[in-house]
Amino acid sequence: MPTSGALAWRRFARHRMGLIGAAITIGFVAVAIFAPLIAPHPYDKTNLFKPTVPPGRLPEHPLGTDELGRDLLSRLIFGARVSLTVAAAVQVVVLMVGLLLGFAAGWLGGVVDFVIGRLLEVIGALPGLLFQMLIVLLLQRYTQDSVLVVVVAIAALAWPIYVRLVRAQVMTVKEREFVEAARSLGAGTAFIAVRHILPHLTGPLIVAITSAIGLTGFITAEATLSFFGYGINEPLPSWGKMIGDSVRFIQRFQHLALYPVLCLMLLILGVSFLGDALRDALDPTSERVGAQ
Amino acid sequence: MMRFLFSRLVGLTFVILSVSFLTFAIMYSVPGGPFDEVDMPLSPEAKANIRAKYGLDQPFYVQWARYMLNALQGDFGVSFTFPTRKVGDLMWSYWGTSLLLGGLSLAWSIPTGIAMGIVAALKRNTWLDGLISALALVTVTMPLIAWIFIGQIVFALQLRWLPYSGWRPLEDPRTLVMPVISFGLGTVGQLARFARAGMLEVLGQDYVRTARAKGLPFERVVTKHAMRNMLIPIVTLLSPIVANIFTGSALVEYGFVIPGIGRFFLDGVYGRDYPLLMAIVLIGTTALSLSYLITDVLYAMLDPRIRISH
Repeated sequence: MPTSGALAWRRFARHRMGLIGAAITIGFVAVAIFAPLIAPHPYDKTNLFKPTVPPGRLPEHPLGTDELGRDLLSRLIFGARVSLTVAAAVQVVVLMVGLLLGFAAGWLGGVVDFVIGRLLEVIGALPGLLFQMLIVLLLQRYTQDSVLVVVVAIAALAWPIYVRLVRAQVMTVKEREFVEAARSLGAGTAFIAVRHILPHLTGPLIVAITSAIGLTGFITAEATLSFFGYGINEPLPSWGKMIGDSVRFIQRFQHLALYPVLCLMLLILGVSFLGDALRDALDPTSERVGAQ
Repeated sequence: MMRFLFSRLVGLTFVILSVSFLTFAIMYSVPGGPFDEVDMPLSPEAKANIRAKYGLDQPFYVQWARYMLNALQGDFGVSFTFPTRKVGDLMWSYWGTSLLLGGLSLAWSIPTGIAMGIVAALKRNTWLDGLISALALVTVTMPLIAWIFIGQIVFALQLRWLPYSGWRPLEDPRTLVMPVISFGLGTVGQLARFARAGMLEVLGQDYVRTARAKGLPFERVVTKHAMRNMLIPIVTLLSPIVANIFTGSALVEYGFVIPGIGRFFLDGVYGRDYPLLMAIVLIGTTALSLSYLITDVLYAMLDPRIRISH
């Protein structure tokens, strides 16, 4: 009898698109981690004698240079690092807040649940883009670290959906017999939470992380904020910012916009297909694979 | 029903008030303001005068309360960036554009999405289902910036089939194509996935089996029984989508240089035009909250199995 993990892996491996997605995602993560080793040039080294070199013209700049003569390939490579760092950091923050408040609301119920519920309603009704921009403007006063600022701005509006998810799961699991059994044997709340309820949360949470409410959503949010100039600051490269900055030159130099757009699309594609396969693999009742 | 409506309206008022208060508070604490003296230096007296005129010398909760009282009477104040015009009038002149863009986008994306979902469900586990599901997945997660710039580079700059930007619905309808398509793509994916799942669920129901067993042809079962029941849950998905078009799409309007509410709002953030931003926030939140309320009522009316409880 294979374990549930082995079964899930078998279902996952049957997904061709999922494997491709996993390969793309791992590729981007590797590029992000080893960026300083792979990039042919520093991302911030300007050369005003070689601005806007088109791709293929100079062997030392295979994808050309931007308007300040910075190597485009190197900036794309470091851009992967910025994009994934922001997305991963937002994910960690949002998960922790979601687990904490979700457990509180689902486990304690009553007044706590009511207050958290109202809070979720209000945060959920806030206009997202405007608030992200305002939070960025507000935090810029206190810190120069634009990565930190962007992470806080995105996370500040993204957590409610995780609280809802955790709360719903906690409320169903806490009524189950094994929780009652554990409690009658003298188990404390913390023990039950970690040993009995947390394992029931991993499946739904992994699905959320790889879906549009998770990493792909955060990658998109960072790119959008940076595109409008409310995100990552120079000299750090961000794909969204590279696209936004290239608008002025797009009639003559399309490579400046095209390559960051393609990077963004490829990364989103990879993570999405990976997430879709994971969802099918982790949910044994899922019909697509089960029907084969 | 009346008690339900009443309690929902109380909740709705609470949400709108909280959102407006939070917006006001955070705008108040953001550095920079409309009278930063970048354009011209002001004497302290003149500055105090202007601040008094716009009520900026009051504590912020007083400013908020005053603003809300005026807004309730339809007066959203005077725009900082266009000091000669009222926010309400400005909004009206930009709104038509955003509503046209949103309306046209929904007009093609809603039927397309639902149709794709139904086809995928009926052709389940075939290559067509795989293709539609993959397309739907990609349109849900792909950032709008990517669609906008790929569209502009390929169809405007390389192939020269469509104009790069602009919005002249009557003179040059080709300017509508890319904005309307890119704005609707996300909706197509969302609806296709939802419709596919809904259709599969309905097809597994007892009444569908009964209808088949009594000899109804499959097509009639789908159109008469399955489709109707599948469309009900889609109402819940549609309401936020429809509410969204009231605030326009900042990205689409910015990318294609369209004079709509979304673009107007970006200028408002840049110019710290608080009265303008407040108006957009209030309208957007109200539209969204109301749409959820309408959904719940509609849902109960469409599906007699659902009883509203409190």
